Amino acid sequence: MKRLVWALWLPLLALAAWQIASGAGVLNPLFFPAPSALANSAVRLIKSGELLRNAAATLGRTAAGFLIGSAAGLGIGLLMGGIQGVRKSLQPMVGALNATPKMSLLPVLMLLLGVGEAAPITLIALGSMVIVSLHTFDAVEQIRPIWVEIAINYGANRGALFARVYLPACLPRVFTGLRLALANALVIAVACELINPSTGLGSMIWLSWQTFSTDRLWIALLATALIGGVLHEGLRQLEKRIVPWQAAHFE
Amino acid sequence: MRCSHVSVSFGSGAAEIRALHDVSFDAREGEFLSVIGPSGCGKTTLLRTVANLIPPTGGTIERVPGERILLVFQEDSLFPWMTALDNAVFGLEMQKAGAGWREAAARELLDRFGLKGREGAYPHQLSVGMKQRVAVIRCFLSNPAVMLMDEPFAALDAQTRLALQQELLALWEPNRKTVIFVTHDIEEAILLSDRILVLSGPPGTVIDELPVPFARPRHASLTLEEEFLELKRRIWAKLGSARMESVVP
Amino acid sequence: MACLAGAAASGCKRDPRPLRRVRVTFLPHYILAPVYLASELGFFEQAGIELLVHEVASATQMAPLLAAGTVDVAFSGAIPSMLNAAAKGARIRIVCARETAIPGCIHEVHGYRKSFPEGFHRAAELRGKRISVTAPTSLSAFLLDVLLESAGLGASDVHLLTMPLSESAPALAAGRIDAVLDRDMGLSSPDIIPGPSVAELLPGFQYNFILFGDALLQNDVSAGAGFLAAYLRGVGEFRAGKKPRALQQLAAGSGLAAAGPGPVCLDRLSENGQVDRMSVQRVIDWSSRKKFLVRPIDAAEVIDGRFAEEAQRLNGAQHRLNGGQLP
Ligand SMILES: Nc1ncnc2c1ncn2[C@@H]1O[C@H](COP(=O)(O)OP(=O)(O)O)[C@@H](O)[C@H]1O
Ligand SMILES: [Mg+2]
Repeated sequence: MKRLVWALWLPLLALAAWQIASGAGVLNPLFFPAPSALANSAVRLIKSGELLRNAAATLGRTAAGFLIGSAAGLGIGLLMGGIQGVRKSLQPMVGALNATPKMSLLPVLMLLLGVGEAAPITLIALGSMVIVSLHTFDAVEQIRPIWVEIAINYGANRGALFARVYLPACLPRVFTGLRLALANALVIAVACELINPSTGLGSMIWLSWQTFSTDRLWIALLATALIGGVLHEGLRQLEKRIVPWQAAHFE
Repeated sequence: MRCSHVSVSFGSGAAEIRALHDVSFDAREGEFLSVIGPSGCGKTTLLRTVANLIPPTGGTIERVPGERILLVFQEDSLFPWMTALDNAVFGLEMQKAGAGWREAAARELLDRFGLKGREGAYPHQLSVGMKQRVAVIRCFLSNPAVMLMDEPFAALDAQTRLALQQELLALWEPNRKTVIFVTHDIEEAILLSDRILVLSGPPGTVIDELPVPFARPRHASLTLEEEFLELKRRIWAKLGSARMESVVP
Repeated sequence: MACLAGAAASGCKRDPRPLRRVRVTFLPHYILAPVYLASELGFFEQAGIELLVHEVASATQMAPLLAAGTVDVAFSGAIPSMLNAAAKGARIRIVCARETAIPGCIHEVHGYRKSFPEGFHRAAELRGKRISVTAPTSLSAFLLDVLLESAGLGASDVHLLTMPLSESAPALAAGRIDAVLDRDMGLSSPDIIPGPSVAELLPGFQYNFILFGDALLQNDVSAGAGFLAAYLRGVGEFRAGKKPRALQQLAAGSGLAAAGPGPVCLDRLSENGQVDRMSVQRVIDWSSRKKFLVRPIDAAEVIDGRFAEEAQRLNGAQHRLNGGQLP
């Protein structure tokens, strides 16, 4: 509850300032409709189902790409960390892919996969995979040899070594990767929708520009930000449960 | 457990570091053996070699087949992702001991070592001394044939160290498993052990072997007695001459 | 103060009249040849105007720029973003026509050869096809609706896709989609064939305009008229066969045919700039039907013809001054 207050006072203050500035005629309502007017539009868009439909579409793409990509990234990262040959073969490629702006690959993917959902989801998955695999690999690299020695000294077999040492030792960094990947997944999803509008909040933003509907534009933008915040917080809560030993969680 | 002419080197060629040279000794069953020597002389290397974590480059180590040898590390060795309790029972967990029994056993020892109420704490929430106690408990609970301890109390203040030394002896005395205890503190070595190996190095070599004649159970006040001080002086001289030898070419 | 050759030529002429800055925005395209020509031949400068160009990547970006007064002039179609901004009270007006539909001159739709084994001559061929437009609000979407309507087809009879031309052109060449609504297929491929002409359905329809923002929409029309006059002189030069250097560079960079439209198609560039009210009203009615506008508007609300008229007058006088010869 306290944390909610800390998280919200700044945005709420900004909205209040916005409302006051609108009332005073400082802001051009063509571009910055007053928050009260936005609230009316939001109610209308929620009632018509348009906002939720688009939010669900964006969320669906984000989740699908993120889950596929993260699972692949976890596997690839562990393999890279564990097997020399895999590391040497994949590391340069993953590094190069990491530095490639993902959106530049969308046209190529569309040529390969067609114009449906496959291309954006693949792109989101690719982005997540790169981030998660690099973090996982890094996590494996950072495992203190002493932990492995102790476990072996105490008679851990391969299964126990993986479940009780390698996996938990990697988790904090993996979660850092997951958090970055999730935010990135949402960014790519919305960017794909901006470029190839069909459904989703990105399409809504884009269509709002096309028709100069600034109120819808702001609502779609705020909804995107809200989803980003909720996803981030959700993952943090999950992290708190799965990685309870991280010092950062003991505020 | 017997070491014969054991040598250990790291690296090879020009970059070769000789850590141990021709080390021979045996640890008798039920004996508390201390190894003392200046920092960097190869004590940790010796323990790790005995624990089978480093292969010797020369010589042989005879172990009784099937006997488990466990090492308590010098540095922080708890798993950060486990609570104090889970860390303590890790050995038992690996031995597939029943969950209920192992927890009860661990709780009892944690209580005795002043960790009551801290069972659920993670290592980063514990002090250095508490962490080292959990590491010692983890080792004892596993009940190995040979326990190797690498300066477990080095990072502690004098008072805590004294308390833990007493606790360690109290824990050890009823069952008397073989212990090889590494330290660079002469008093600690005398107070705890039946016999002391004096090492010099690097490369580590055994320069002397001294029996400790005091009866058990021992008390901290022993450190003030004349015989104790006499033994301490002798070891001090040994270590001092070892230092001199390594300085004079 | 030394005057460097080529640098700030206007500032060195000791012209007593300071140049008026006019900020314009457009998508680089060969249909803008008159602007480049007028600039290269000094027509704007002669009209007392210093041209500042702000190129954008999408027509959609123009309406906010114009409504906010970041730019003074936009070269754009009468697209919903502009119309809705005007409907919401932004001071934006259509002041000059640029391009008119002429049958046989432009092909507004292109198809993938193998998708049209019988040939692509009739709008009815579009039934069941995957067709891409740049946006559901774009002029291309409007033209598609005109085509479909002419064949008695509805939106549900085709698969409509939205993607930028940079993606739809290669997708068309690869046969991933069947048809693309665009007047200038940048990609030449033997697999891409032109389709039926919308111009035949809408003779005289005006596609493209010049729009002014608040700064030029004054009661004193002289500044805006001067700007249009310079532009229309550029049109004259272009129709007479002159090619701007900037356009050749643009063509080389984009892979468009350097020659631009053929001679007959130069006729599509309006010489007098007179705005056709019906063309604008058609797009307004379509936008209104599609609920793109906050309220239905009359074309007269968004058209301001004074500037083009005055520009005509200015150029006529100039024409007489030069003994009937354009300079
Ligand atoms: N893994 C290693 N690689 C190279 N040199 C090592 C390694 N471990 C220890 N050494 C070297 O061996 C010598 C003995 O080290 P160590 O056994 O840790 O000494 P002590 O425990 O007595 O302080 C030192 O010179 C040390 O630098
Ligand atoms: Mg050491």
